[in-house]
Amino acid sequence: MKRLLLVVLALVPLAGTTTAAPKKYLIAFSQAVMTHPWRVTMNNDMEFYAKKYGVDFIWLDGNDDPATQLNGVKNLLTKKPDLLFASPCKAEPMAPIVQWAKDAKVPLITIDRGLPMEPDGENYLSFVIADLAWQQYDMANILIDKISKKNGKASGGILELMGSIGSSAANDQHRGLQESLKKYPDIKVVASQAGDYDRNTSLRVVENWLKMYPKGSIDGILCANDESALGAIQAVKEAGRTELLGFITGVNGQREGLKAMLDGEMLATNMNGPYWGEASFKAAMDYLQKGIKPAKYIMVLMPSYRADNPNELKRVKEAYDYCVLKNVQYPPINVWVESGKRLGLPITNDIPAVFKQHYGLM
Amino acid sequence: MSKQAGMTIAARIKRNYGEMLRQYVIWIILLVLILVSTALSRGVFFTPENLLHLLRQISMVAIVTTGQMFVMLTGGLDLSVGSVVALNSCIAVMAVNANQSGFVVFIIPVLVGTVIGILNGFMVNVLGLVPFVATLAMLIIARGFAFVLTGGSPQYMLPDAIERYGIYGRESIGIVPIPVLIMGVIFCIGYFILHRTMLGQHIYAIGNNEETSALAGIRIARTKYIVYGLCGMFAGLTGLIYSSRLSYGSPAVAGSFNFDSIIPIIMGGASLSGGSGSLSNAIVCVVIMGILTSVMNMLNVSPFIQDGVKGIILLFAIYFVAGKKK
Repeated sequence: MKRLLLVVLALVPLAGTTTAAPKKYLIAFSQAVMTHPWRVTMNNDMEFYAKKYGVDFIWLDGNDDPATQLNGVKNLLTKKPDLLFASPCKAEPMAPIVQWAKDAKVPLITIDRGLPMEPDGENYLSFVIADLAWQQYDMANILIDKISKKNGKASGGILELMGSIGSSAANDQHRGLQESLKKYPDIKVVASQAGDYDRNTSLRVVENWLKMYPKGSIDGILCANDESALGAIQAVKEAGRTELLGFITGVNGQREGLKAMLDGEMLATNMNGPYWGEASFKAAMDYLQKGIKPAKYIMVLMPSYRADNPNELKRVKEAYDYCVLKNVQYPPINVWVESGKRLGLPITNDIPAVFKQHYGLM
Repeated sequence: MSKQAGMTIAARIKRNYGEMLRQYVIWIILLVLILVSTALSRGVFFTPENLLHLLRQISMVAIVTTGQMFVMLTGGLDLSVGSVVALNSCIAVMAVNANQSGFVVFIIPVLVGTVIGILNGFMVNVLGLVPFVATLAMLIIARGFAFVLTGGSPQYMLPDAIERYGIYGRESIGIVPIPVLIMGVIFCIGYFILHRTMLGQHIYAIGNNEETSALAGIRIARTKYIVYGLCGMFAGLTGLIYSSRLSYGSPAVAGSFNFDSIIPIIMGGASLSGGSGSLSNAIVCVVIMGILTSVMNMLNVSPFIQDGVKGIILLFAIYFVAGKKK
């Protein structure tokens, strides 16, 4: 007993050193804008992972205005964070933050949207991205695949409902579609108009389209996001063009979109974010805690939800039920992954070389 | 003809028929557009179904434009209309989902819109802010409030509610869509007030010369409260129609309604400083812009040049309608 007591007493000083408080990291985040549930979910996810890694997390909203966001970055840098995340609202005006972060000796990682320069791997460590081109490529493939099955061969006409003209997102999505079309020379894009990522505008555009393109002249509609797809679906239903239901794709993986898939109206959707937390924090913490520099471009997993086979539809149902249960707009990625494991469905992205090369990732 | 008379044919026409032409330029543009659209679309444009759809497509902007007209005739401007539409689209859906009665669902967005309008009037009358600044502030405040109210999320109508509340946006009486009927009623009310009531006289007078109107005994502040209140009311009503049409409301939508309501008024020949302008011209211009959008969609005109085309038509109209008055 006495010996045990002596051993314990001897170990006490050691205990003192091992239980010294581990360094609590401070991570700052400059958000582009908060006026969309996608962004709200993005923030919540970042906070979730900050808590998970036990770091202090501060963030500021850029209000979709470069001047505001630049001020926010200045503000955040004065708090001497260990790392700065940024999702710049616009690339060119936000370029100064690279130098500011370097001067402040704060490593920088951009998320979702980038800057005019590439990450240099020195202070501007990495750009965590979702490739919107690949996203629309996948959606186009799924749509054309279904059209091929219906027509007996890979030929037909599709309508392209684009996003906000001139935005890099819309350009990337268009590029993805073009890439897919290379494989299917008999599929024609009959018309290409801007839906502005907005349900009302899309409703109007599709309503006008359906008058010019009667039954039999088009086989499907490729939409730039779920809101556009929902507008398109409403126009299709009002015009009585039920042959198009189930041949409409969206993007974003929004709850309402998932519901439309369960109702047989929408065919597929793909999630680009907003769950950036996992990849971003892993890169950040690996660097801060272990000194491992992240890759210059980190492509995140972008789950596709599709309704063209019963198992995939089950995956959609699980995701939708999760959203309703937890009252969220977007299902987390792990829901997709876990459903996939259980249902024997793919759980990784198969991103072709042409898209990776765009980011110098090959 | 005779150059010796010192006038070219063009100048002669302008002198003799200038004023009359100016009044009808808008209608001429409308007619030409309808003819060209019908031809280019191989007749698809000029079917009853399409024309009614077109009217339905522009009905929401037309209602907001009517309200905006009241404000602009007094020399003011209301930049907050888009935010009011968005806010009320959310409020309407929230009321529907909370199982409120049809009356409540109708009256709350209208009341909220009116209150916001009156607040705009307050900023202009009492705080003495220039309408541009006052309503710009309200644009931010109203939209911000919409985001706080909804937590940033769009508000989706519950499935069973969608059926019950399609009435304002998705249903028709006979072949005429209800939003078109509402637009017709609002236009009649607007026209009646402006041309058949003392209030209308006062509005034009204030726009023409506020000081003289005040000296003549017109109650400036009260009239301004009324015009801003009406503008807000119509915007609130539009929010209700929007949510019914799309079965959802969102704090992030309707941003384009601000300029979409101001441009037709200017295009229709109204003066920016108030006092002159025709509501019918403004609504015709809303239709013209609507036709342009529709037809360019139908003909698959490149999205990159669509805004340019609209801009050119707008310039054309302003030059010929507004002339060199100011």
